[in-house]
Amino acid sequence: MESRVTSSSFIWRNSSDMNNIGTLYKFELKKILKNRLTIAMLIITLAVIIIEGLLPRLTTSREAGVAQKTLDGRVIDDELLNEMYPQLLGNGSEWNADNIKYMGVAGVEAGILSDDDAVLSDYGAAELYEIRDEAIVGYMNRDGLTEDEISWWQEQMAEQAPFTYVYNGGALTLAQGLAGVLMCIMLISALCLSTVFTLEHRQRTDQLILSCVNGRKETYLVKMLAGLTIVIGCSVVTAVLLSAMVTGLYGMDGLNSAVQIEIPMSSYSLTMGQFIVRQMIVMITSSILFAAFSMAVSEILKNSLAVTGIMVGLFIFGQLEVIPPQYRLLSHLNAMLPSNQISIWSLSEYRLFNIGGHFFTGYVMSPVIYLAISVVLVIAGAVSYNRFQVTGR
Amino acid sequence: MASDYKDLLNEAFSAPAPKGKDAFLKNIRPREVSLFAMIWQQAAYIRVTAWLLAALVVGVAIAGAVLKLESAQNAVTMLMPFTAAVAVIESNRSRRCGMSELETATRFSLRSVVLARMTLLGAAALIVLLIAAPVISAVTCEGAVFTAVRMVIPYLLTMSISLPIERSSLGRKTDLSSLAVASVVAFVIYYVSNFGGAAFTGYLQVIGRWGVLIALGLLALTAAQQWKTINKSEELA
Amino acid sequence: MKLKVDRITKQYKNKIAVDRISFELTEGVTGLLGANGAGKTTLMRMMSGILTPTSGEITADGIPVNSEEYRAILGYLPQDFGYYPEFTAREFVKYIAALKGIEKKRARKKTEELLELVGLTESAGKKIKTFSGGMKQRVGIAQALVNDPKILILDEPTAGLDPKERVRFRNLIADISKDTVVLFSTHIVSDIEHIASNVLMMRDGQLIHEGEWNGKQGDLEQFYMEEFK
Repeated sequence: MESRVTSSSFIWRNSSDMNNIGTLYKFELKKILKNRLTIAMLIITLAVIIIEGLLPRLTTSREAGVAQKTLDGRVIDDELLNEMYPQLLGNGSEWNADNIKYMGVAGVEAGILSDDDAVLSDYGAAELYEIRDEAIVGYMNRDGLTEDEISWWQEQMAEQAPFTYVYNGGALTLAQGLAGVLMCIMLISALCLSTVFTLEHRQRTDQLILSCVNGRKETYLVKMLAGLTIVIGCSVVTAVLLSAMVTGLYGMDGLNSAVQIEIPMSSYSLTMGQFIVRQMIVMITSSILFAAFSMAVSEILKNSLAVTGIMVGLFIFGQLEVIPPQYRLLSHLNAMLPSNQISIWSLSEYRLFNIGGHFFTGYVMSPVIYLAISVVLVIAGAVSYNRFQVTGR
Repeated sequence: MASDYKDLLNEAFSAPAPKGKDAFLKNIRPREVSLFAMIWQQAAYIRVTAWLLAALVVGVAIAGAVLKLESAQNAVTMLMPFTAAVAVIESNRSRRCGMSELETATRFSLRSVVLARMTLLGAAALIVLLIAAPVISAVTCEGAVFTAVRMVIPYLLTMSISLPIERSSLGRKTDLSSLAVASVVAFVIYYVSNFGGAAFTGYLQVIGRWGVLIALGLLALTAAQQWKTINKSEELA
Repeated sequence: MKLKVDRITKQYKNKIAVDRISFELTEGVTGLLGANGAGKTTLMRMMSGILTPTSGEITADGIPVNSEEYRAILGYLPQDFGYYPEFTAREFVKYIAALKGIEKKRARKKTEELLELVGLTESAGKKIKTFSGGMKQRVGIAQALVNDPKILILDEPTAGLDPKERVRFRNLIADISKDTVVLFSTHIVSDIEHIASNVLMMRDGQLIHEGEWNGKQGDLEQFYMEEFK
């Protein structure tokens, strides 16, 4: 073996490795961002943020929020309920300037009773909370929870009642908006990142790339990194933009309100602010999962259309609620899909993960599961890419 | 024995060598192919994905009816844009696969091929609608016409947006532009129906009152876009 | 530099595309002739490390083809190669330079040198999608040379070029081949007639002729037609 060929080229490679990775990374980012579809999807994401921010303003009046804020800090007890009941019209379905301030409180009561025929003014506070506790245990039994799991939840719920009312318009808008943003990230991953690898095969640039020194492992790594940068960047930027917009339009009201003000049957002892933090963690880890799935599976299948179809199909399937709760594992898996996990309705998910006798909620486990699946996908994609042979043309 | 006689007879009375056979064959007019036969011929060249997706929509509708799932309405409405996207992709396959120039030079013009494909896929969508709408309306207890309009509006909206995009430079560069449009329309349906609140209620009221007119308007727009696509198919070749 | 191909075979399910081919190449141009489907592209892909042989070995001074050291000294121009339409010629060559592990500063300098060598300095900042076929091929040769390769594999690089472009291309290859092993495949015999010192001919996956060609043996095209009767 000629040392002239090996040692000089080897030394020369080592000193410029990081530089090359950086250069390749920039080129991969450029390839993704110069794609007109990526630009279109980013513009659509921006439009979604604006619409999500403005929509509540179109459907509820500023005066309603101001009126409801006058009850901030009031405990939902007999005193508040007795004050509200004479003001209710149409059993809490008709609102005017005089009674609008009770809309949130009436919503909490209606959410506990869950019966359109129930007359709100028939119930006292103690009875309401008792009905709530019994109903929650009933739902837990329906979902197949064990006695230990129910006991665990009952410990969490011990200090929840009575609720303290805090107007949460701003926090709620942000929470709902984040769910919408995640859908945009999913579409960006499905439509824009699924071509990161397949485009090289389609455009026949793979021959040139694979014949180069950095054409296998390094190229795979930078492509993955570039894709992940795009989705994580989008997640962070959109979350910040949405938060800024909501704060500007509505103020960040209700971050310290209990989640039960919006989802009365939730058994989580969280404030809306704490829930939003969990949403953001789910959003970022879901984005990583979407990107890893889109890029790795498109390389394995050599087909970006199929990947787009799978991702969008799973999303639509997740909305169907087709799996009855008695099939606990399948139903729980469905609930763990990112689109369901980030939704505010995930606050009414009671099923837990039991690991070594310790119970964990979906908010703890989902980021771990998403990251673990992402790692597996990235490795599988790497194996497929490194084994690829240019043939059949 | 009989076959020996047959062979001997064939040898003794063999037909003379043909004279002017090639010239004769060249003068024969090509076989008439009816419009229906030509359209039916194109069915074989439409990919299985398109038919499977139509079957999926019907399957989801029927499953929703059997399991009495109200969410089936939303699921079917969200799937309709994708059937439109697949229809647009299939109609433009000749251009995408670089076959336009060859097909322009064949017996049936590229325009008639594109028209045939659009007709077939449109017929499939109509069948899907005729099955899914009454089935879904049985679950939701809304009228079949109202349900059909709710399903057809996203379909026509996706088509009328995708067709001009496919003709543009973006459509030439990527396969996914129609799917992107479908995804966005589906996402809007999801978002408005889950989080729209009063906006969703308002939308349903508008559909209830003006839905048929809106659908007819979108149908006209889609037809105009399809006409442009058909006309330009040979230009783009 | 000695490029050794030793009993290389590529077999697919029901076809042997390359059948136990062996030869050795040194600096200079070697022409690879053969009809469509002879196995030239398959052989070249194996020599470029992008296709694994079913059996046999390819080494360059003992360095195996599937190693990074081999790819570091390789320049490859595939038949019908792709490009990124949105990239300019300059960006494209720089990108390939990064893939070939060339340090940034050197890559910048080398890119400009090569674009000048192939006559694309004025068009360096324009997008490749606006280029003619000949200009695209010139970008192709520029990217193949960016790492000063010791081994240059060119798969039908003159296909689709006009006569003037072909002569220009030939002359460029002749200049480079002085200290590079160049393997140049083509259908067009005149492309290599004047520059190849060695000729390989393939038919049905097999090597049917290997030998020096110095013009004294007569007309190469005539010889080629005789071999492929």
